[in-house]
Amino acid sequence: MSVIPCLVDRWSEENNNIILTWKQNERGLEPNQHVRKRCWSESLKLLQKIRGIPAATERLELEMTVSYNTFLFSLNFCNASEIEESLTNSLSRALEACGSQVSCSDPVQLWEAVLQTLGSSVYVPCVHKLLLIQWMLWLMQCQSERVLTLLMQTNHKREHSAPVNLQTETRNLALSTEEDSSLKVAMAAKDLKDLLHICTVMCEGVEQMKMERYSEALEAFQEAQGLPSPRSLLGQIHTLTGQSFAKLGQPHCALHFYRKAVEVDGACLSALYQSALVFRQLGNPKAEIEALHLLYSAVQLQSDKSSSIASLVSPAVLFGGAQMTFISRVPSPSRILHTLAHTCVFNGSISDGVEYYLDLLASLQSDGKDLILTGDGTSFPRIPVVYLEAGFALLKAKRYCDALVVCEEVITSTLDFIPERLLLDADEKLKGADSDVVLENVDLVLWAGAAHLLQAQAHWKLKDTKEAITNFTRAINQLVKVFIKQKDWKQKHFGNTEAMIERMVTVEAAKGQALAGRGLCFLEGGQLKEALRDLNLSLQMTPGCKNTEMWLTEVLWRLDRREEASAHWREVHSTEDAPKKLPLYLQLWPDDTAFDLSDLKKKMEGYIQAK
Amino acid sequence: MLVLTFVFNYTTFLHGYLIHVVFQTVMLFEASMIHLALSDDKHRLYALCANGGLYCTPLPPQLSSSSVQVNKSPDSVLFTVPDDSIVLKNASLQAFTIAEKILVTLSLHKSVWSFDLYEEPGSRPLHKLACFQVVTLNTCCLNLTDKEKSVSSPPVLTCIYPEGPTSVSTDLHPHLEPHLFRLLFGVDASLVNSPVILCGLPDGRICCFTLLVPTLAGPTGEQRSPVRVLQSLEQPVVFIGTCVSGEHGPQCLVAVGQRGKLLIVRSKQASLEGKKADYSFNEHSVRGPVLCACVDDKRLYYSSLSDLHALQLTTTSSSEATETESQLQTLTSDSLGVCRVVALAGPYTNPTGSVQLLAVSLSGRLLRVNLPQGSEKGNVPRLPSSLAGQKVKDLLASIANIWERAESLKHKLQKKNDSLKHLNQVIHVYSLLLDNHGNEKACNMGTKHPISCCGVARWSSLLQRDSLTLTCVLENSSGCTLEHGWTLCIQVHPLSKGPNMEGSSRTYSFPFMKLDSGQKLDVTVPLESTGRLSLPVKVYCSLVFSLSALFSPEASSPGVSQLLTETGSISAPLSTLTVDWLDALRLDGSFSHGNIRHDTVTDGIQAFLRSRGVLTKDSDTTTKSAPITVMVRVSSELLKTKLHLSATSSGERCMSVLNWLVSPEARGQMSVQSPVVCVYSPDGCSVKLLVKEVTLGDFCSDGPLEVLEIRVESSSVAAVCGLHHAILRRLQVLLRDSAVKCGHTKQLKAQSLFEAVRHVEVDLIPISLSVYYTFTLISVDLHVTDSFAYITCNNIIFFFFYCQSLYKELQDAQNQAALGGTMKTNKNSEILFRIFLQLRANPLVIL
Repeated sequence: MSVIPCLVDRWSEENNNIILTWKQNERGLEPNQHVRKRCWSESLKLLQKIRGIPAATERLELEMTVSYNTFLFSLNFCNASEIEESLTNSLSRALEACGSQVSCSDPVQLWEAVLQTLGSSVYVPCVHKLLLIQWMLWLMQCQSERVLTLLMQTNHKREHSAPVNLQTETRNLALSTEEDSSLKVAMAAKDLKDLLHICTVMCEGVEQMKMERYSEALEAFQEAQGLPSPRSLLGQIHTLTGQSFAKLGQPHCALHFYRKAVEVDGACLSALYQSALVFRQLGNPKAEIEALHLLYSAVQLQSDKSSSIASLVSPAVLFGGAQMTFISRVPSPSRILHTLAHTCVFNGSISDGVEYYLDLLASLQSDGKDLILTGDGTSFPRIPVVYLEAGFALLKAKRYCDALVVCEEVITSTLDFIPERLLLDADEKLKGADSDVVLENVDLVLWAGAAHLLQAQAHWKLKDTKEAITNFTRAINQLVKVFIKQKDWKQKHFGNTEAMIERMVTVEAAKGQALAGRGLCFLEGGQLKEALRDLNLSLQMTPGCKNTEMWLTEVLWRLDRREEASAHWREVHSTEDAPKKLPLYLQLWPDDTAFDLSDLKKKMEGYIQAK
Repeated sequence: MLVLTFVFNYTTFLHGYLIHVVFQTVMLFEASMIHLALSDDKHRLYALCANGGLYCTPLPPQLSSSSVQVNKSPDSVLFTVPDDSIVLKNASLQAFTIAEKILVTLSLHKSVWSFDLYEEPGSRPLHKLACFQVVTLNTCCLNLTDKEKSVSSPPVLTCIYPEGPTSVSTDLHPHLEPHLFRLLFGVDASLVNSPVILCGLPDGRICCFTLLVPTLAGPTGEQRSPVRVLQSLEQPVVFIGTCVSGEHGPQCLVAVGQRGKLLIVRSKQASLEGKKADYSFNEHSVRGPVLCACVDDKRLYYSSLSDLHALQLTTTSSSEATETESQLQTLTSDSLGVCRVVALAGPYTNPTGSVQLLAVSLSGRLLRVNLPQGSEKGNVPRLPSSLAGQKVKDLLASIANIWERAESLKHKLQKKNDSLKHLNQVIHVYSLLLDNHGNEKACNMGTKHPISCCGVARWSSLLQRDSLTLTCVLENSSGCTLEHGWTLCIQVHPLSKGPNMEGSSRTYSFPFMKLDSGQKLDVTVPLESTGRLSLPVKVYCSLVFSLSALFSPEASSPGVSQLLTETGSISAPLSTLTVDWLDALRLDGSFSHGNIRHDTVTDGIQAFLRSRGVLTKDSDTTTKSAPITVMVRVSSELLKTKLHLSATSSGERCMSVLNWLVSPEARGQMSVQSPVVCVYSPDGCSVKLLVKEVTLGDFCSDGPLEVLEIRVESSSVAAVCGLHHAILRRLQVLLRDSAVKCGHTKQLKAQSLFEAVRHVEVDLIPISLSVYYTFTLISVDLHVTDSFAYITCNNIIFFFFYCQSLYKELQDAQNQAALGGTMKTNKNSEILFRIFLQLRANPLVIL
């Protein structure tokens, strides 16, 4: 029987050759996925050969090492259940080799049997290698309880008085990770153990975060920070720590950790995104814009270079899909760009905002379109809204012609959907889908109206009063199609949805702006009666609008109704503009006053004093 | 330009087919294919196979390049798609499509349909971009019959683009005019110009989602499911496409269900009163089951298994209600007269201007279906002359096609008839032959067989070597013709088997094309085997018919010919000939002397003993060159009656008998002029044959008996033995032939002779030829003495004077030889020779 040792030698050599190839590839500048696949298939073949003959103790070490290598290589090519099946097979064969009966295929019981049989033999390092694989598989499937059971079985020698806890178990885990120099492995057991340790702790933390137990999560992350880990992982740990702090209401601590994360790993996008969120929360638009801008450039850079996974076991694989998206969630480039543009315009940096909006529109229109996805559960705004916002930004940037074109797009696309009349019955209780349809219709009307409104303003700015009046009229005609049966809907909440109220307020605001705009046009054209009517109607729609009030004062003054004018004047100065939650494209602007108010001010103050 | 990709459910082949039929590429996948599609840039082909693997393979460069003119090599290229090219493996994969560099797959897992989006020219494993899910409906409400369930139709994924001025690279997918597109799929898709993925699920629902902006905020700001159900056909969806081209692109969205429900979605124009524009769903019914469908500008083509239909879809705008109603009547379908179509593509205009559909039949054939043009009646008179010419051409072409088909059918029928006729004739011939065989005895002497074969042995010289050949003549004197397929088989079977000639029988077959009534076929076969002539030789002639000749090789299904390869022939025996030493005698001495071999008695005995394993080192070479003589005596009366001899003088009689022996009928021209003839045996020894009449006075109680004594003298023992056997055999045949006519006693004697000869042939010929003669007689003696001891019949008497003692002497000699291997062979041979001489001295007389 001199054949068997010879076989063992030959197979060991074969195994070592495969590992040698892999190590060379790993060291190389451009790690190749094909090499990995080849290593996998070769080592799988070797494993099949070894399994072709009955299990025996003299080959046990070799077989377990080859299994370990094969499982590591197979991570990218097989799913966890396939690997687990093969692992169970390996364990059964190990038990067979030792002459014990294999009674079950349940992994937990199998491991118990394996650890009992082989726990104190010379094969412990190999057994522990396979145990690491099992740990890894369960970690990938987020089965932390089974991991805990497994680790407890391994640690069974110690007496436990303290409550069982995965963190302490992991910390106290004593695996024999001596390497046998004659049998090479693709990844040293110690390295794998360290990686698994940190990932398990992170996993725990993430689970705690999901259950909104942030201080517990913080503990886990703080432990994870103490462990040796690769850079990218450390960056993610810092980010998660920061997120926990943010949730605990300590934004500055959060910012501190986000900064640490970016320092550790420059490509830690989630840290940038999270810090942008914190800056918004802190009301620091400048910093927010800067963070978003950094994030956007980083995302663009990242999408350029293809990410190749060089290492054998990457944290991305270990965390599984859902966990990884939670850890490193970043919105899609388009979403980031929109947020950036919106924030810029909203906070007054119009020129930057316009550029971003134009970039966004271009990316939506170009042939090499990007898929607009939002990975983090938020959704992309409706496309007409983006167009209207872009139109608004262009208008503010004094690029009136461009604004006209963009708004025209919205008008043509919504044209077919505008109903003759949209009567809303506040009493009527609408169920989910129906209410969605109604809201959608209101939206369409609103968008069409807003587009006309923006166009009219652009014409007004271009000094084309006639066109402006036409467009204001169109906007009014569109907007008045939405009609609510009950007159007192503002006071009474008819059990209607928040969204509906919000829509109605927006529609009213748009109506008010359109009427006020037309009134202003009439005022300029000297049609004072029409101006008076429109401005009055506008004030009915949106009471307390300062500009409208002042224009009304002017109209009244010119109509020689001085008393009324002075009354309005006083009213204007006594009331404050009620802050309204309006969409960006309906935001009022201080410079909207088209003509000089100082003249009016002088006149009014003179009149009041003269009284 | 690649215009067609076909899916075969049954085979694993793909035909890439070009409109200027240039070449075909055959790709072989591991499992049968469910669906395939091209990537946007047409450089890669994706195929979904039944094993759940999605394969991505680069197209051969010729196929992908759009400017293929004429390729000189028409042969198809076979390409096996390797296992490596699987980009995605998921057993629950059901369908996929590719648009905008996004691969959309649809899989069914645990009653959830999930749409997965992947980056298309992606790395492996593919980078997943997104995933949307739709819960399946309980399909039992669809009242699917079992049959329909078993034919589980896969879901249909179609990508529809809005028709825009800038849409260029999207000729792989259907378009829809922007107005209807916007109405159906919303403002967002229309503003972004994003294609929409439409999915017809087997439960009948038609779902859609905007490919590029799938996750948009809902009306209340929350994220809403991107997948929207457009309509439900309530039967498995077979096809989704766009049709009825208008100014801005196709104006209708068409969906076809498996059981024939046809859904047409049209837009209603916004009326002047400012009423909201809308679209309408019109449902129609066509006769199902619909297997597949495709559309062109005006028509929907769909295949029920029994026919291919073209359905005219009207271009009218459906604003007026009356017109909508009238549409129901206007939906008339024309049959195209093509059945069993399971996949359709097209239509395409080929260079000659005719419009074609490409179709795959159930049996896997790729068909080109020429569409009838200008079928609208109103248009016919207004056809321009050029088109009319074209139309006539088309009609003529189709007539030619049909004529060709009819012709080929006729041809097939004709072939079958021919085969049957042929078979009938074969059976007729066969029964004729069998009749011959059965009545062989009856008509032995009488009429000639309708189909007969007789043979004559001849010497011929080839390459300075003389060889004995047998010339067989097959004569067909029956009324029928032996057609193609018959083979004349001649089996040459040496009767004597030497120790080194085991199983040396050979068969020669001569297939012939045709043998008319009255024609003859001459064939010549060598009688020697392995350079050695061993006589006597039995020759069996038979006619064999191979059934595979009934079926012409190119026609007929392979199954029949396969069945016939094993036992596909019938054989009928024709005749049995024996070529003996007499036949092989050479009357002239002009042969090459190279192969003369003098077999002396000693040599023969030596050979025999060697063959029996007794090694003798015999240095005694006292060859006796004294001629050996053997004689056969036959009653003159008998021969006279049998041979119908008319000669009265004894000399003439003798000559006639000698003639009969040496040159039977075939050699009639040679006449022996003396009662003594010197000839040469095949091995070149000179042999003297003489016949004389003697009177035996003391032989019979009836008085003196006239007998003819046939004497053979030669120095070669083999020749003497062979000739003796031959003469006995001839006499036996003669007597047997006459057995019927003769009386009881004669029959008896014939039987006895027959038995003697039979023993020679059956029991003794296997013994070495040189001692044949000796042992012949001994054995005959033994046999006869054992059973009868001494036979006296009326006409035939065997004398066995010293039988017993001779036998004993021989046995002693043999025993000595066996016991003392070193016994003098001299003595041996002398003993044997003495036995021989004693026997020879007392020949038998045949009366």
